[in-house]
Amino acid sequence: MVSSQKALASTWEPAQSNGILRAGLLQRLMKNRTAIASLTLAGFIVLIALLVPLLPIQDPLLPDYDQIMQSPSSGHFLGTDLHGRDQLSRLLWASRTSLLVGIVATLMAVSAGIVIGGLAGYSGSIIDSLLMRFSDIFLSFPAILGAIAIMAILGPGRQNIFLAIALFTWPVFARLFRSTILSVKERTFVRAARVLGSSNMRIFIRHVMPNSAGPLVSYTAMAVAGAILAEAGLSFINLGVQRPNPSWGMMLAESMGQFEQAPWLILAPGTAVTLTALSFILLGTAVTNALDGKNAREYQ
Amino acid sequence: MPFFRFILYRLLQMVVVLLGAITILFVVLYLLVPGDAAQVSLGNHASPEAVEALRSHLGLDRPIWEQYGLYLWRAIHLDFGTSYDLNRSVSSIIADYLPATAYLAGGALLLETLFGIGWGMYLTTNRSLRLSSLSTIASAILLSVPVFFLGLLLQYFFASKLKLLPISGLGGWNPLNLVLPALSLAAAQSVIIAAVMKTTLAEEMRKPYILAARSRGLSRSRAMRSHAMRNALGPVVTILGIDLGVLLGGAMITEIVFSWPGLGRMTYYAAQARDVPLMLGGVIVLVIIFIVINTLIDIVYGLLDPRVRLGGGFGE
Amino acid sequence: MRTFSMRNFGRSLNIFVVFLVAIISLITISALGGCGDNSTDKSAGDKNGANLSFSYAEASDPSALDPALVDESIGGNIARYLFDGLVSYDSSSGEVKPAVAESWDFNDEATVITFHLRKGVNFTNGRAVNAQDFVYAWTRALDPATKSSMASTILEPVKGAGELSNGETNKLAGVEAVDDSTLKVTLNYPQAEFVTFLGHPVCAPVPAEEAGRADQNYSEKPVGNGAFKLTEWKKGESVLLERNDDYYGDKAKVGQVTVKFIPNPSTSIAELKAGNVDIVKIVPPGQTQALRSDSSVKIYDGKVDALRFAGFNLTGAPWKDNDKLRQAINYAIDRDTIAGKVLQGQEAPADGIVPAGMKGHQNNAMPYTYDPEKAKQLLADAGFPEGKGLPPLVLTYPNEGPAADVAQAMQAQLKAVGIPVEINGMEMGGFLDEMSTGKLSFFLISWVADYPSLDTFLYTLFHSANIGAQNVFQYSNPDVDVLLDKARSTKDESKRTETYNEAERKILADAPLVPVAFSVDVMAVSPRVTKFVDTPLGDLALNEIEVSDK
Repeated sequence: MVSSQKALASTWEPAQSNGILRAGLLQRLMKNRTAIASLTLAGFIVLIALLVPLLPIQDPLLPDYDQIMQSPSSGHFLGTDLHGRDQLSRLLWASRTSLLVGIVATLMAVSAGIVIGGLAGYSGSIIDSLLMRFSDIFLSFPAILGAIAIMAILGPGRQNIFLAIALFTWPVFARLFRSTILSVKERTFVRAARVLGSSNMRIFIRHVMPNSAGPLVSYTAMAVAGAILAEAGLSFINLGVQRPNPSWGMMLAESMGQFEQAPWLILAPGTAVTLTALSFILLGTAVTNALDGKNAREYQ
Repeated sequence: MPFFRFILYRLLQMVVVLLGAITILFVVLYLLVPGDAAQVSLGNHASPEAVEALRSHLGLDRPIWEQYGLYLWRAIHLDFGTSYDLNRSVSSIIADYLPATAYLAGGALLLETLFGIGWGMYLTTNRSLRLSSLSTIASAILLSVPVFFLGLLLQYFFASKLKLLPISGLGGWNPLNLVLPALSLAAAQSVIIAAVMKTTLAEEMRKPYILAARSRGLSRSRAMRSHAMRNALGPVVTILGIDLGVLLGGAMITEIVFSWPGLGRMTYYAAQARDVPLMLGGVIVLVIIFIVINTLIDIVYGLLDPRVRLGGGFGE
Repeated sequence: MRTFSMRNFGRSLNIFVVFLVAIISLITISALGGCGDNSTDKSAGDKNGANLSFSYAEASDPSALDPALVDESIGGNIARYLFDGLVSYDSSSGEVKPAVAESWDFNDEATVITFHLRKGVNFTNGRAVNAQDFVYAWTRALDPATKSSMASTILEPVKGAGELSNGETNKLAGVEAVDDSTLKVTLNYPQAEFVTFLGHPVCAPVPAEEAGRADQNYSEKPVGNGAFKLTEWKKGESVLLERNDDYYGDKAKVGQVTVKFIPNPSTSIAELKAGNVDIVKIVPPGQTQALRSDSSVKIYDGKVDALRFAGFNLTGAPWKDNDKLRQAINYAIDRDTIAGKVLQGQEAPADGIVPAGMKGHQNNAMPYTYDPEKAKQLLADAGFPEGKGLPPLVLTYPNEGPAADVAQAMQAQLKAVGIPVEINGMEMGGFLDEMSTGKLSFFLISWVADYPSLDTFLYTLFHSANIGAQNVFQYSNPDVDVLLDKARSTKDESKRTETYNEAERKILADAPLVPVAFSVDVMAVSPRVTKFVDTPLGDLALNEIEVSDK
């Protein structure tokens, strides 16, 4: 256990130079309190998303045209929309959409990252540079622009969102795995393992994966937050989930005209996206800090 | 001469990435978007002969690699074809919308530089645990707020309620109109600048030359401003360069919220109208700007700091 | 220790003060800069209103301002006041009235129309408008290279129009400039109502010396003969119009008109309240309720001029040869709920194809009422008892206005009778492309009158000659074609109306569409506007706008 912790910390250093986590550096000062808080918050949101079908709330898709545009009441805590659908119920169900997109899109990106980064790291030389230039190309797109282009072509729907987001997230993971492999490859114990006849797959599972685990968790948390924000943005401009399924971004767009009369219709979904993204970003930085012991000293 | 080799190398890398990006976009857009470009462009009244004539004019009857070559050749000359929807040359449409985007990105960059550097310095000077925890939370929140939510909040409070600033639009280049969109766009990025600023500054402050200066009786903040700052700005400038690209391309949603006549919003509408040449042109121009700026920053940074030049190989 | 940290605090405070001062000075400088802009349009107006300016908000840029290319309502509204055609429409009744043509006469068969042009009508470049400008404009509009989508629909009756738009010739045989002030038009068949079509911008005169210029795009800088001239088109932002003081007709009451393009309706309402916009042309339902009780804004319910309908592509499964299924859907839709609740009473439930505001509208043309039981019965008769055996259905709608809400309500109502439907929103441009190329099977869209005649709803949408164009249903019924042709050639107005009405009932019996609602444009108007007219075509009559000089 102890030795693997050390290994984690040492691979973490070079990975930090990859732009995306620069923000994480600031948060080195994070204390464990934040880690606990963010884990609790993320856990709570995931729990809600999982339990929504069991909660005693109304059908988020069922219209009731005798109850349209109601203000908050004991029957509808957040009122109803133009179709008489319960806003609270839609808000809670939307958490499933948000988390599903966040997690699935990130998993797709991680898998692609493992394959491409692994291939690049192992084979080296020409294949390595080709694959890395290939990932540079995807990194050269402003991600939201690329995702919008993909969604405009493929049309709305969850599967398409997964793809549109993953397509511009995988290079980060590819680079992570590649750099871990490069650093692990030259270590004595890996050389020894190879001499002893371990297969590449075995080396990957035994040495590369554990060495990537720390940054992987933190990158993944950040990527989930990014995907959640991207889904909200896409749905906000009508390029996300398909109606009548609820999404926070779409709910916000639908209520934009009613800021004055019904501010809760803007504030509730907006806050929900922010808190969900926040919990994953804090989680990511907390992991970073937990791996990075030396920073604690700085503020003693 | 390693220096020229470095520049040459970076430029070559830039060209490779650019070509790759254009290729992928071309393939995705021209091959996956349903509809025959010639038919879409002429409408349904057109006779089959007219459609055929346009197809051959556009080169659509040629094999795909020839079409690609033709597109590339024209793109190099900034000729992205004619918009299906607006019936004008794509480059002239882009020229109409680019200035507003550049203006917005410039405004946002200014705000994030001021705010990011100010905040980073403040954090380095004031090293209280409470402050830094507060700042961490604040920056995490700013990173988590969707730009459209922040934009709407700013719009509501500063424009509709307090009536301090205009609600939307370019307002004939009135700088007041720039404040709210630039602020929403800059919020998340300034957190990153502040983070980088603080980290590099703190690292510099631990270096021997600062310790030496301080042992000569220089105050901590004086040492920071007159010595450490200069060295710490390097990474910040790099991030700012990358940000400029992000701002140019990522301003789309901000432009939509604030009815800003920019290239991002134009590309969004083109994408939704299935106006392939216009959309492709818009995306390519944004990607070119992004890549070129990054390369330039890299080269300039390499000029300033020879260590980068050594490390600047394939891969890292 | 204490002093040290105090000083530190002071230093960092400095940084913030500098930062704050920078921002405040930025805002102040810009405020001062902004004042200069405001002072010009705030100055008091003179008697004829040359210094008065008026602005209204639309959701997006027009697709074009070249009259030949105008194909949607935003551009139509602007182009109708940049150009005057042979005729125009009375802004309140919609009746045809003389414009550039002072008078016209028909031959006995109503196949040749001779227009006598008014003297003293000038283009804004100073040249007098003559008959040749119409020959040029119509030929240009029909030329396939111009890519006009409306020209061949509207000018279709003109002799030789088909050959020209097919690219078979480059001359329009049926139009002749007899002399500078006489234009002779020959039609393919008797078409008494043709004159009514001619107020569409696509028929307006175009000066060849401007449209043919290589140094600028005519659509960007159209030169016309209307009540206004275009000063500037800031893409994505606004169009600036200036009064044409040389205009031959009644001059406009305001000196400048600004059309602002604000995609987000809540932003345009906020701009209205802030005094930056005088009229918001289309207010979506859901926003009107609150605005009606807001004393700073007047809400105006516009004229009924459009049909919101769901169409079937009759060439594909399951709609092909399945009247009962299509009728079942017609019975399943609760139009009262959609119009009254979802659209907040902002639209009226449809009772036929032709909107209630059109002259010649017949009441209850449609046999379908809301009857879920009958819908279920018909569904079973069609071979899909309780929806079993239905292929997956997708209702596609454009992301504009309340279409998404109507689609969601229809989805729920269809589900209630056992017809599961997915709904899919697309942006208008892509939607129109796919609908007109027959790629959409079931689609929700509105149709707005192009000219004030029943023809614009019936012939245009349902005549088999328009398959591949506006007949998006691919609907073909020889009986209906005969009736529509007969109506077009009937001179007597009441007989003509009767024939159109009969055709409408026949079409509805075949159920190629689900008429849903007749739309009304609800406008939000600032108290500053003292007079405005909403025309039967849904335009703001820009030459009749009056504003107080506040």
